[in-house]
Amino acid sequence: MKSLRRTVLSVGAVLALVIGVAAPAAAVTLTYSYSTATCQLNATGDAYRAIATNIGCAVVQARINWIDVGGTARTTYGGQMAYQSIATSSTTMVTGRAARAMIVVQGVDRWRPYQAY
Amino acid sequence: MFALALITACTATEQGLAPFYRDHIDRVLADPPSDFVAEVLEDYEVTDAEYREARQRFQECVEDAAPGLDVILPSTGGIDVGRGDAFNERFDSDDAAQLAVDDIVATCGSETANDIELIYLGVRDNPDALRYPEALKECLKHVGATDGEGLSDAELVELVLDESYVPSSDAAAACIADPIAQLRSLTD
Repeated sequence: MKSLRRTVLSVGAVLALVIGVAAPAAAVTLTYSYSTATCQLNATGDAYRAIATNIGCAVVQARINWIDVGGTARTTYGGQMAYQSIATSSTTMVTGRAARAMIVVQGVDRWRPYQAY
Repeated sequence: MFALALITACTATEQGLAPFYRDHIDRVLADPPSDFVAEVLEDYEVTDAEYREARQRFQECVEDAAPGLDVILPSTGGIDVGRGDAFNERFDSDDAAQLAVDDIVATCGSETANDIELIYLGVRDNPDALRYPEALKECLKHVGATDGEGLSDAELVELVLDESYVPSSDAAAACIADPIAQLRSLTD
């Protein structure tokens, strides 16, 4: 693992992201995971309904921007996840060096840019 | 208990959809969604074939939205979109082109695969709709880590989001990053 970084992004509610990058010369494997840990408003109430009406964290989605070996700008959008599914991870094989990569976490209403590395 | 996570989506729905997923479908159907999404979700079950069709429709929708978009469907879900020159040259800046792709993906996704995938993958991977602290406690227990032992759910979340906190082991760190996936791997 070339680098492993844990970063916290404040979005009103906080989302924790872990991004690892394994980087041999001609291929980059991006592995990301996120958990909507603090989208829960409280431990006992109906957080889903509260979130749906109050803060945009019912659904999250990760996004990676990267440049492939031919210079084409690509975006990998992770599947949308219900917050109560709480975490997911995905590995994307990049055919060229990732010139730029960014994880974006989406609340219900907007993207929040997050500079991963 | 967590062996349930290894059971297929179809089996999980036969045993009864977790209230969280049922509530989500109710909300989607009330919006209302596209005819296709409504047809798939109205029986509160997403079959393998329906999931495949939803993703295929997603791909076709994005490809048909504008020339110059190259679409790949990752095996893990979601969608991968490349912007070719034929697409980029319609915009004044890279940011504008990116925003246009985001908009296309959001629109197409809402009409095709977004909610269907959320239910399909959610039921498959987390059929009991465990919340993060619940899954994390289970995972830490499985790997023998004592991180956060005795803490409430809220306190545990606060601990793992504290930047000064260092997990006691790689296994504990893996639990924190993705307890559902880690639990699945431990019970495979």
